[in-house]
Amino acid sequence: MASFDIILQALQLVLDPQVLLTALLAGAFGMFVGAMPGLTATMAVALLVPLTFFMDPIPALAAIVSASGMAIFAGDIPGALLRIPGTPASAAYVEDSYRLTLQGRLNEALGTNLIVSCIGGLIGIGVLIVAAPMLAEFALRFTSYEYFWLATLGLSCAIFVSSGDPLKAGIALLIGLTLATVGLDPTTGVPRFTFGQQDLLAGIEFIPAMIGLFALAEVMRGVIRLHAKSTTVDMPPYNGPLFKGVGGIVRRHPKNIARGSLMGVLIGALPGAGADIAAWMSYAVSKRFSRTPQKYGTGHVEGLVDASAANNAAVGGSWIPALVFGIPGDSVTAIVIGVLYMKGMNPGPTVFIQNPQLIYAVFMIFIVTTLMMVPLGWTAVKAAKQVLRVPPRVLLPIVMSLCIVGAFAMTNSVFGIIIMLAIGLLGWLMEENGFPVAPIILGLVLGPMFERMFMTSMIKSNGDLLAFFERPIAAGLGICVLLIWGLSILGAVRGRRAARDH
Amino acid sequence: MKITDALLGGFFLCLGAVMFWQAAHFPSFGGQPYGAALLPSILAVGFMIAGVMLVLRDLRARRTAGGPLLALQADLKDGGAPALLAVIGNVAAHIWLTPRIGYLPVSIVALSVLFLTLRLRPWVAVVLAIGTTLACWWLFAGLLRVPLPRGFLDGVL
Repeated sequence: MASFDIILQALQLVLDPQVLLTALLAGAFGMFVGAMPGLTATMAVALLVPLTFFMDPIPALAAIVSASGMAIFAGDIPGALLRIPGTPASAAYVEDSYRLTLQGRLNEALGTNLIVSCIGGLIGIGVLIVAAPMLAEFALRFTSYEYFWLATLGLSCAIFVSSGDPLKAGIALLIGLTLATVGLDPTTGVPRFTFGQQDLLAGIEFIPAMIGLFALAEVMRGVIRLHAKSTTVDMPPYNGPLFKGVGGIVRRHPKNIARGSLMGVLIGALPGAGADIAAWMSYAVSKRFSRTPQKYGTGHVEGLVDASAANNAAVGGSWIPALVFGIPGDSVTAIVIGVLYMKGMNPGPTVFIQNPQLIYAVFMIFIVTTLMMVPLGWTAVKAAKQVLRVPPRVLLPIVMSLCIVGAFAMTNSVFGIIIMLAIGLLGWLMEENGFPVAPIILGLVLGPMFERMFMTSMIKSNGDLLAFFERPIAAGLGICVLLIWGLSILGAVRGRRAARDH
Repeated sequence: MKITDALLGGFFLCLGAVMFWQAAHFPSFGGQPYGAALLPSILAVGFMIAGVMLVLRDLRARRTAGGPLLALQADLKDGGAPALLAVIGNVAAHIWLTPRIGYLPVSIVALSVLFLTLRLRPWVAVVLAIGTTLACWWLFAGLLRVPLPRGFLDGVL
């Protein structure tokens, strides 16, 4: 347990007015991006990162934590108003919240979303605060073998958990890992796939790549859609107090909140699965165990409570593997890991010993920003009428401009913009053809660690693959990875056989 | 733009083969059997296997369903293509012209063109382009000291 001195130091870091102001502004930005249909929480973070590059570590992390949490809640607003989920994490219960709106219970739906998101977020942070230091102590004994398996587990989950088509997800992951090999080889210093380009020697810059994948590709999709359908929307009228009746709903569903939050944390902590999968799964579980499953999807608050607790709890959960092992739980934490490296706070168990005040400051930021969600969320709901009127044809070019200057700022040259454009086009084309893009970013982030651990282990063991299973934890993790692969392949073969018989 | 899995699979198969050939030319590390080529070679084999699987799966499905090898989606046909090209052209203009002419003029002109392509009224397009460009300049070049190219405005700014 942390000493009082460390907690005091962390408190000093967090209560700096500059940190609080940054969190507030980033939160407002997250609210805006999350509330705009089509723009995701990952995009909010991707657009913020170039700014965080110029900040100290604590305000930088405060900005990211605040923006991602707020964006996930704000995604519920257009879901309830227009039946368009603002972020994929709100898609699971969009039908319920929209039907509630049609029944004249909009305030009840959004008030419940907001309060339950806040409670779910706090439970997620509670688990993060308890579990992360314990896991870190355990992880101190890890060698390259355990880290190799952990990285492999992270990469495998990216394939099997996050996508409907494992083959395409696998190809996306191979692309990410290949991009990570560009530049000087970490073990021998040989330039790889640089084609004589000086700029490529340092490798593919992670942040311009991510801006391309998550922001520029989204802009491309957005401008194409502009022509396909009308963008004017009718909004239902809404007034009155936001939190009326919400207390009663929260009191009637403590089990749903607890279940949704715990599922959210667990799924969030799983590498490759984030808030959106957490929301879908907890909605399904809620329906399965409900006494009134037939009411789901017709404007019922029960599933909404489960799923909106889960998606915000997943935010805290996804930081557990990121902080303890340096393995991202989802695409936002993949970005976080990049930022942590940039700030010299190399994620992993040693950061808990060397800089515990920074880790505790991160925990406190989580609590502060989650509590901040209530007033900010209230403002966002009240302002939604105006925000949602900003037409995409105005918004998308502005986002594109931010992408361009953000990518430039990362390399201080147009090389950043070139990377962003190339990878943005790749991401757009891939998503058009059913390839998920999150595995690319996981491959790009985990690639260097994966290769370093793999090469170190191979050289240590002189190429003996059995050495990867000699230590007990490594063996356990290795068996886990093999089981995931084995079961998935078996499932695919059975599925094909069943389809053929059918 | 929809490209069939068979074509994409073929592409990944070729990509894997080229990568494998490239990796074979990476110099080895003295006395060490594992070097810079190991992971890229494994990835290349992965691409080749996945490519073949994609081709086979698509050909099997195609036997029953059929369909073209390459197809433009409905929204690209409905006028989405110029908008997409305007976005790509905009970013490309920044890459080629910004170091020569400077960020401010390139961004104002390119953004105005993009807003016009998205059917905004001309005066709204120009005002928004100038406003967005100046805001980005103020935030990045002013506050964050990012050396956005000044081009011919170097003496003035």
